[in-house]
Amino acid sequence: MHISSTAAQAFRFEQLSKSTLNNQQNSVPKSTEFAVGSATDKKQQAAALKDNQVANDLAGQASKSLAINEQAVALFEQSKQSQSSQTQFSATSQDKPSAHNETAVASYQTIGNLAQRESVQQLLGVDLFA
Amino acid sequence: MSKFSVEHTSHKSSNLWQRYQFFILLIAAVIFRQLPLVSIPFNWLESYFHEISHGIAALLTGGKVVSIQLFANGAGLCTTQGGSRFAISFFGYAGATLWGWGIYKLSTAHHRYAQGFLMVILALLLSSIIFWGRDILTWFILAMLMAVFLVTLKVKKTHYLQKLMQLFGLLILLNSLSSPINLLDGRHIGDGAALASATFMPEIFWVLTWFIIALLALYSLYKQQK
Repeated sequence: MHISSTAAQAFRFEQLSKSTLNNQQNSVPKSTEFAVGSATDKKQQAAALKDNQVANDLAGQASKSLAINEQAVALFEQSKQSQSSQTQFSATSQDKPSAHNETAVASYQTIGNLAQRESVQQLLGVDLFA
Repeated sequence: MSKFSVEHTSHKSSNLWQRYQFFILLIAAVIFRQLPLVSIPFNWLESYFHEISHGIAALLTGGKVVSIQLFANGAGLCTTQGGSRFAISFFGYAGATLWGWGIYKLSTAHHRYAQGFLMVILALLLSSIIFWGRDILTWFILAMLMAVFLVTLKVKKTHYLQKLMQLFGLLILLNSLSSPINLLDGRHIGDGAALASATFMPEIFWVLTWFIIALLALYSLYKQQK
């Protein structure tokens, strides 16, 4: 219960950060185009440089948020793995043979052991008395 | 209550005890065998005397005992080499009957003789640990049986020593009486099946033989008590 809610939060967080990153990516090419188009004007160059700096800062922030996202993804995968292992465990307990079947297997093995016992008796020349 | 009436009542109860002590002990043995935890060491006791009888028969007929294994549930296994297979198979149940009968019978002998017999049993248990036990569980069970007999040996009062030995004897005899019946399970395994294969007499014949021997032993003890 707790794990699934954490996973949902992480998923929501991932979606949010993706949309932020798209917005930032859209804004960065605009500024670059502007800088290339007016390279001769110093003021414009300075403005373009400032814009670039801002764009870089935003990209850095985006990459930071991506790093947090990776952690969230790792957590999400971890919780998924634990959930799958729990499912496997419950499947194993379902596959456990019933007491009746276990008795049947034990009886079958006893017969096998008796045959084995006879072969050992013949091999070693000993007699077994129960 | 006057002194006379108290004496009269105690005399009456001791008379009742003397008259019916065989049956009282027999009922006590039956109850002990039914009790879940208390019955465990007695099961080991019965199992040990069964397996050691196989072993003694092997030794007496020129064979040797390779190992004796005892299990927690009261089962046992004796591995022998050489000797008469017939005698070894037969003396599992018959020997246990003899042990039970002997322990009961010797309990009524002199205190010294009873103690001497207990010493023989202790020596047998010790040699079983040293020479024939091969696993920890068997050693543990044999050690527990030794402890039971050591405690019995320490009993100073002849009366209590006798009663304890009689109870042990009856427990072993009861096991000899009931255990052979378990062989009639249609699986053709165990001492009865081994004897049936060796003699061409059916398994039920041997089971009945052991049953009758145990009954005769019980009857002999009852007659002795009378």
